[in-house]
Amino acid sequence: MNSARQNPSIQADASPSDKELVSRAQKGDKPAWRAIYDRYNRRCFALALGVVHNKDEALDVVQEAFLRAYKHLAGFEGASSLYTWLYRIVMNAAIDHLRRQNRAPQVDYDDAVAHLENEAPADAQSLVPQLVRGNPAKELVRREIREKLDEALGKLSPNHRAVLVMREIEGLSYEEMAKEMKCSKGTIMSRLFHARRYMQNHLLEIYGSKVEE
Amino acid sequence: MTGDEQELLMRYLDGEMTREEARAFEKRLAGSKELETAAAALTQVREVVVARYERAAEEAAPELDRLWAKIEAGMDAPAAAVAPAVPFFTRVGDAIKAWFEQYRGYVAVGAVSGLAGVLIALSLVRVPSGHVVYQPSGDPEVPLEVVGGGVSGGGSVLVANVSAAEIESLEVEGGSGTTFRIPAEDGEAPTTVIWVTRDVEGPI
Repeated sequence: MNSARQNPSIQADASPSDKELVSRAQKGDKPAWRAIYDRYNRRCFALALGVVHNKDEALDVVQEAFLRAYKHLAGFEGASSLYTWLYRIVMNAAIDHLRRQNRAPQVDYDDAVAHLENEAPADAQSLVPQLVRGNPAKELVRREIREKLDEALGKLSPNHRAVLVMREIEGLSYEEMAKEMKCSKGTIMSRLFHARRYMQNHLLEIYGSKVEE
Repeated sequence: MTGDEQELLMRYLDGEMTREEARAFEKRLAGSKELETAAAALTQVREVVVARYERAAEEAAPELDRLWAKIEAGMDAPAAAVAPAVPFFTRVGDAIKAWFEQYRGYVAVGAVSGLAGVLIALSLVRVPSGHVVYQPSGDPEVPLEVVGGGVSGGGSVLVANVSAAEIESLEVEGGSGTTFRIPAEDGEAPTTVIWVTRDVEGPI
């Protein structure tokens, strides 16, 4: 059910093919590399933003990643899709960026969970599932909603936010995420569970209304 | 909802179940209002997160377009232009120069202060007034023999009839003495040097 990876609104045009563009770019065709950049820069930016949680820093990460990718383009043999390859470079660039700022995602899992539980609203421990009234995604047109949501996302540890973004935006499997984050599948599942529950409870708080079923 | 159900729901929504597992869970899901609500709540989280990052990417589109110019410049720039190779000593020299430029005032004040301190110290410290050099014969029975030097001001020094090897320190009235040995060269006997310093003006 990796539908998010094929997210149509972030997905770029299909023509010309990635393979063709890569082949041309490998021969030094700059417009081909520009076409690849135009095709994927938004997805890469969203991914970088999910990790570093700062617009300017995410732009820096995208720049760094596309330069790194260009320099190593000769080594790309097409074993994975171009975006998978790019995505890994973006993730590495984002993590390197955090390391340079001493914000590397090395938070101990238990500490991070404790932090999340403490930060969550009062009914965070409730096991009764609740829904936000209406369509919360559409409510994002409201600036104050976006700001509160960003604040909630910002309180997630980089580890939890990265897992959330990798899963919800990129549609990565648990195994793929575990490989990327060099941890067990169980850890990935726990992080994802707690990140979602944290966000779920914050949504209830942010949108100010809840429907108990 | 139990922890097991939560895990199963998560695996179901994330596509981590086998086809058989998913079919079985769907039956369970259809029979539980609570599970259905939980599934809808998780879907809401997903929709909001995706919408937020999509919107952020759309908002950043003009900046992402402008970013291409920087990327292109980086692609064109040879490695040396991006990170110019500067010789080590040039970098060290530049660093010292920059440091000096920044702290020029402190350096000048420090130098003047240091010079003044040295002058004051020299005016207070008594400089050793002279030395006596003895060359032992190597025979412990033979008294040490003065071979050179002397104490300025015509002082006298009493030395016991001992070999050089036994002299480790020298007590001198009105002054102090220290000894050290110069190793022998070319078969010659080692030289013992005794420094005598006056504590007061006048002969020891």
